[in-house]
Amino acid sequence: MNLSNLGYGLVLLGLLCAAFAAIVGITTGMMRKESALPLVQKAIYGFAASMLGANLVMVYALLSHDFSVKYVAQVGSLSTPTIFTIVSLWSALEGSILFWGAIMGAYIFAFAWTYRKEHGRYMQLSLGVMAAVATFFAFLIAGPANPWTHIANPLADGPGPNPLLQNHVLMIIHPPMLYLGYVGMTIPFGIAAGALLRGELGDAWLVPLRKWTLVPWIFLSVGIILGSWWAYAVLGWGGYWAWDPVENASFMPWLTATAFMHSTMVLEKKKSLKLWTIALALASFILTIVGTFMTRSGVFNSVHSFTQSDIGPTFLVFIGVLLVFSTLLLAVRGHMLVAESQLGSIVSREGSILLNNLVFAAITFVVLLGTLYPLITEGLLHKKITVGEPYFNQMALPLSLATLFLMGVGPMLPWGVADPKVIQRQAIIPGAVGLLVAGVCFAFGFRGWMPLTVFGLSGFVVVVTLRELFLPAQQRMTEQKEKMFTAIFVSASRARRRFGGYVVHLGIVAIMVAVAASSAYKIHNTGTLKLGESMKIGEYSVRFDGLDRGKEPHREWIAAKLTLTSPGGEETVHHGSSAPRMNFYERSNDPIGSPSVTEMIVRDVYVSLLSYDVKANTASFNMWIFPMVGWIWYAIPLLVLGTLIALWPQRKQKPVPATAPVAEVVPGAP
Amino acid sequence: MKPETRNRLIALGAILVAGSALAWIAFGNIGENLVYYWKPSEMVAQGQKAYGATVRLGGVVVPGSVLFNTEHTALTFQVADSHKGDAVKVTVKSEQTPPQMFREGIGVVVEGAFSADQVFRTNRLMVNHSNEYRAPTDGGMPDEAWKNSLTKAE
Repeated sequence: MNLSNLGYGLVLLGLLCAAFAAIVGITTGMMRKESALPLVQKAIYGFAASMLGANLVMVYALLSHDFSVKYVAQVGSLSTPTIFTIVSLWSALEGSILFWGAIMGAYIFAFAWTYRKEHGRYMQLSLGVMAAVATFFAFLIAGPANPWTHIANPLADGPGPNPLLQNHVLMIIHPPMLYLGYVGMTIPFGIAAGALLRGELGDAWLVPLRKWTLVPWIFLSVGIILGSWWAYAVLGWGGYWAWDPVENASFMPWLTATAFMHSTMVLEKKKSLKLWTIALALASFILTIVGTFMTRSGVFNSVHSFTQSDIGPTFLVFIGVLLVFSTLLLAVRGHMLVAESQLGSIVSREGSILLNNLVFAAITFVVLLGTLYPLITEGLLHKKITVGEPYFNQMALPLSLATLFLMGVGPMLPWGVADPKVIQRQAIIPGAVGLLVAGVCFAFGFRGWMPLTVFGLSGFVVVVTLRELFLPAQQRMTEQKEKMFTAIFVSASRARRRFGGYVVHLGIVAIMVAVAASSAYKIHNTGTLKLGESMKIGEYSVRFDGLDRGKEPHREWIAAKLTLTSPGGEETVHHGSSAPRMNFYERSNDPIGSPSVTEMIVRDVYVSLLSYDVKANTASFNMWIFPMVGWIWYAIPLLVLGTLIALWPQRKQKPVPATAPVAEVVPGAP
Repeated sequence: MKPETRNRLIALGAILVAGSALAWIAFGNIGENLVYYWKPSEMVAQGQKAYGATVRLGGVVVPGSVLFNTEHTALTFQVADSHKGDAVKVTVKSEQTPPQMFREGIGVVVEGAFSADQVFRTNRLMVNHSNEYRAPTDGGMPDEAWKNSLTKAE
């Protein structure tokens, strides 16, 4: 048996298992026959195992360079380094959908296994809905995006994966992160759809819904940031975000999922915003599918659309089905989602969260409109246009400032009714610090209302957040006479979600400051240098020390050796791998640049090689100084830390107090 | 009317007003920030309407038209619809160093604006990328000779 047959067989087995789980789960769930659940669970385990198996077979085929498998013939090459050979599993459409299947299997398995004993009655329906989504992807792998086609007379070598993907180590982790974010949204979708189908909309399913949204949320966050880092470090155009449709595609579900994480608090505390919260959970999932469609169907001619294929129509049908299904669910069950209590004043925690949700919805609308507008005009008017970056920047700027402001105001306000005097007293110190930060920045020569507003608001938010983080600990230190670390640890573990959420807020503030500073105060210079000549970039000076060249198994390169002189006169030599270079891959006609990025805490010096002339020994450069840009990626640990704190399982302590509403099912389980 | 119902109506009204305001601003803003994909002939056919609009002009660099002054990084060349002799040509000026791939005869996309003096000014020059793998046709990679001339010439 050859690898093609083995792999395809496993995919078919996975398709069968998923379809079986979907049909049995949904039909028996609707008939309320809970006895069928073990059958559904087993089929799901079967799906997960066969998807994992199929991926292992593909990795083996790639590593053993079995060019009789179509996908290996498409992306494999004997000269590609082993690590990039493994990575080429997701370097083109068919492989990435196969990899998608493995992640889907892992997620559904993890969910089904976690709640195999304690679960709500909607579990069967939820698993059924998830299995239905899995069926769609298994169908894609088996049909329109089949990587397994057997090639009777294989060539001795292949072209290797797309050079852009081989050019940087970030490409090894960025796509899996993004996929983990995208695919994971299937779980909250399944939970919500299952509970809606079942028509039992108590509280029990909200905890798993929230937790299983937070998991893909953090992967999506990290995936988006790593993607922008990759664009910055590889593409060499001197930026990290261009409002490219593919970037927007990952940003929109992040926006709705973030809004969900906030509105779910109002739902738990105030039994309000039910319909809205559920709609956000459904929308986050649908937007990930829309995003995959945008990325993978090639409807946009963007830099990422190197994986065009004929899966587009299949995806469009799936999106249509999802939209109809979700709308029907909400329409039929809408009466069960009426708020049990009224939202009070707008000046309250719930009021600020409501405003935050409206702002997030507005940003999503703006991005969606700007992304789809070219498709609509091209489809209806046959005019080929695109929406310029200024639209996105101008629209997103005031809305982002609003979120920053709310990030400071919200945590300060109490639930319910706020006492104006208390709020005023609480706002004095953070407000003063915010003004001070803006003033100091102004005094040090920073100008422009946008960055100064961001810096000032950030100071305000950081003070509010730190106070919320450490005030409980301080109280414990004075009242219980605890040591500082014990007090912080105990107070954090008593309120994990709150503590984790505020840590995440600090990360987001760092990103906003970095974006504001690096876009408002960047310095650009370009020019051609002869051997030994220097040019200025801000207070730095760059000297060209000649061209260098080299050959690796999978590429050749030309580098421009540089010496960077800092304002203090300190010289850094960039002659080796840190010199900006152009890489020539066998497969690509165009050279792929690698800019030289000198990272520092407060600024990056970014030099990209534009062109060179070997005979005249000259080279042309594009250079930038980006203040604080690194803080965007340095924020990743904060985001991850905060999420881990929020997700850390609560130890089972006291039984639920008798005053708590009696849940229909086992508490704390779906 | 119960106060609850009244509050809901007020909230709903507020959201509707805010939503339509947002939609109005967004649509207005989008209209000002459109970027048109035009060939030289399409752009010239627009007449005065094309002046000042942000355009991504796509075409081929007319052989023999490239003038590059490295001292002042002033680049001038012509872009045409195609290699045919009678194709519409537009003069393009840039103050950027052209990328390595740039040469006469190659497909380019330049982003900028056309003005009444019939010059297209750009600060963004992109060589038509083709990262799709093309099978070797006549014994070698396309442009292999060109790549060699760059990497091996001494």
